[in-house]
Parts: sequence; structure tokens; C-alpha cells
Amino acid sequence: MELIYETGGILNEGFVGQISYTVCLDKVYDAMDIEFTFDKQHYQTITEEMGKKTRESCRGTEYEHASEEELMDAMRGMKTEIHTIVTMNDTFIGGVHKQLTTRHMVYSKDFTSDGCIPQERISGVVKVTLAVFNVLLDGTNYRLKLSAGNEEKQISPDGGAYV
Amino acid sequence: MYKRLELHNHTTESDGTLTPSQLIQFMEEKLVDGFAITDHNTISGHSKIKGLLEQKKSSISSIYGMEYTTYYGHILCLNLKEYLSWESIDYHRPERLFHSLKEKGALVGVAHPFSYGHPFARGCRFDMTITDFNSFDFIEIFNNPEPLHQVNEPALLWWEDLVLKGFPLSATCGMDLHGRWDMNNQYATFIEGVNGGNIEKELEDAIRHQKTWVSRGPILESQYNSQKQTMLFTICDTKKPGFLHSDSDRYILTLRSMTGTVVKEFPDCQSLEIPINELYPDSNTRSVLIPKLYQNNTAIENLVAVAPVIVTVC
Repeated sequence: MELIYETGGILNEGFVGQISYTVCLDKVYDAMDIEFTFDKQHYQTITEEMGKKTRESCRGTEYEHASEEELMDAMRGMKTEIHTIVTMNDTFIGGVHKQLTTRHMVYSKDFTSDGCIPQERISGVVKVTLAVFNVLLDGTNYRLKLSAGNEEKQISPDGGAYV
Repeated sequence: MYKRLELHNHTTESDGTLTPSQLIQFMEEKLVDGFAITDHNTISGHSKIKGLLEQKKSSISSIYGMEYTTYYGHILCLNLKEYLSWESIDYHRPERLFHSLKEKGALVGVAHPFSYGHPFARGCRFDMTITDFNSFDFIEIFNNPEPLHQVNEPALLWWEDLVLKGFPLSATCGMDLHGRWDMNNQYATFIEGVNGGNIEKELEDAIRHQKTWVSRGPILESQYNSQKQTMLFTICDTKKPGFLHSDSDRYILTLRSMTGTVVKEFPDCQSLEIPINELYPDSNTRSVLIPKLYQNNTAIENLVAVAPVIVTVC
């Protein structure tokens, strides 16, 4: 597969919204792999300040009267949540909800990733949207790569990895 | 006939653990008449389910939908023919998305409106401001895995309040299935239909006319007798597996209206006839009635079934 586009960025705590990348393909391909990765999915350590901040944002919610222990448990379960949505020529061709910190959206003749709709061919304008639901920590890094090719055998049977 | 539907199910196409094939098998094992595929923000399972059902020549019906999983609430969409983008969702005007979906012929509902949300699970609770309650079709009044008092009871009351105000909203429920979960004694949605009938059409008719039943087992039917000026309520067994009822359990009917709630006990486990004047004791206005069936007492824990609203009795 040929790397067509690679980018990345840094998200700040609390961001909610979309970031979209549009790639214009000048060739017709029969396979495509969109790889998305991000870090800092969970709190590594929970400081007193983080606890206070979370307690503050619980005001007026059902968590308002949670005990310290319940709050800490809930904070350990909190995550940065990002969905990936792909359209090709303005038509939806896949969305990944599974919160994998490394995920592939693979389209090939033999295999299509979960959440994605098989495509006969890859051509035209591909738009990848990161729908950011929650960012726990400042300085959350992400990377996005779009690769395409014409040799089916380059896609491994389990998808994702390619040679 | 009554058809038992499971209207909220996920597969491996989003975050479920059952593949589309396993979901079909699971629903067949559980003797469901029709099920919806409602993955989060993808319709990639639709063609898989369609293909598998054609191959299997299965009698089970499928409904194609999606759970629009947005930053501010989850929107359950049924009879969805095409994916519509949701990212421009407006916190203060969700109706824009509702209208777009309805224009495409989809049925639009609010899923688990009072689920726990921000800051721990952004989007799970429906936080958006709805000003036009005619802009969507149904409310998921029971999301079975959710806590009864904190999440499901407020959803039921929200639906009841809106219906009593005259909004034509149907009630549905679902397992929010993400795996091989126990469906015994859980609420399911029932609609009227015919053997071999078009499930999408039957569901649309049921939802648009507020003719859905939400029940753990039996269906509560109501019939107006204009000559006798009575309303006859009948309990109809749907044979839903796992419904817990013993012969000593009394059935109790409640009818909530704008003016209060009438409570009556079934003399047997079959039928109950009530004179119309007893249903509207305090008012000349005959408002909407919400019939509900309980076992033994009217605590929410003992709620067996919610029947379609009785809109007009002349």
C-alpha cells in the first residue's frame, strides 16, 4: 500500500467537536486503509486537583452526592472518546465507535473492517472525520494515516495490518 | 397477531460482541418475531443482516436502524434507509436532525433519555432542548439494563406527561443488547401484525398511531362498548418466555389521565369492564388515558405492561 496522507495533532482537555481531513485521490484503488491512533485514553494518575475539578463538574448531575470512593472509581473508568467517520464522494462508507486507541478502517475486495461498508473501488474524495466526544487530558496526541493500493494480498486476513 | 419486537440491538459493527449472524441466531433462539439492528453511528450491518436472512430463509423479521450517538444524546432511528450525517447536531435544536430523518421516512425516537451522562459518559443522557414535541415519534421508556428508579421511571413519566399533553408519541423499549444477555422477564415492544406481513410497515403504522405495547409478557387490550358505555380491558398472553407470574398474583389496572389515576383490580386474570363515567369522574373533558397493568400492587417494580394510550372515547 502506498501512504497517501499522514497527519496528526494535539487535542486539549474538554474539546468536543469534529476535525475533518479531506483527501482527493487521483487514481482508482481497490484497497484502502485508514489508521487512527491516539494516546492518553485514561487518567494515568488522579491528582487531588483532578478530583476537585471532576467534583465541580458533577454539580447538578446525578453524581453530585457521590462518595469520594465512587467518584474515584468513576474517574478511573473515564476515557477520551473519539469516533471515526469516513465518507467517499459525500457518501457514508463507515464509522467506528469501538474505542480502540489504534484502529484501522480497511476496505478491500476480501475484507472490510467492522463498521465499514464494502466498496467496489476507492476513488474520488475521501473525507475522514474525527468526532471527538471527550478529551480527558491536555496534550492528547493523535495521528491519522490514509494508505491505498491495488494489490489485495497486501491486506492481511484479520485486516488492519498490511505488508 | 401480536409481534414481539426487540428494537435496540448492537453488533460487532459497533461495540457489541455478537456478529450480525450471531444476533440473528440469538433472536431466533429467543423466539423474537422481529428485531432491529441499531449500531452506533453505522449502518454497515444492514446489508449483512439482509444477506444472511435471505440465505437462511428465516422467518424472523429485521428492522434496519441506527443509534445516532451524539455528544448530547442518543437518538434511536428505525426504518432507516440511508445514513444521514449527525455531526451538525445542535444542542438547542435537535429537531433539525429529527426532521431530516423523518423526511427520509425513518422513525425517530429518544433512547434512554435519563441515562447517566456527562462528565462520565458524554452523550448517554439526552441533554438537548426539545421545543417541538411533534418532531419525533417515540420515547424508549424502558432501556432494560438501566437502573429502574434513576433512569427508566423518569423516562416513563416523561412520556406519560407528554402524551397527556396531547403529543402523539409512542412508547418503545429495548435491551440495548451488546451480547448474549438474558431477556427473561424484561420488557419487549409488541405491535399488531399479520403472519408474513411487512414488519417495517407494521412498525410504522404502530408507532405513527401510538399502537405499541411495552410488556414483560401479557398484552393489555382495551375495547370501548358504545351501547353499554363501558370500556373492556382484557389480558392476552403472548407466551413471551421468562415472564414471572403465579396464579396468586393479582392483576391491577391503572388509568392515568390529566385529572388523576383510576385504579381497579381484575376480578380474575382475564378481563375487567369499567363504566365510562368511572373513568372520568371529575371532568367533562375526556382526556387521554394511559392504561398500565401491574401485579399485586402499583409499585413501579411490579409494572407488567404499558398499553397504547386511549385517545378518544366518545
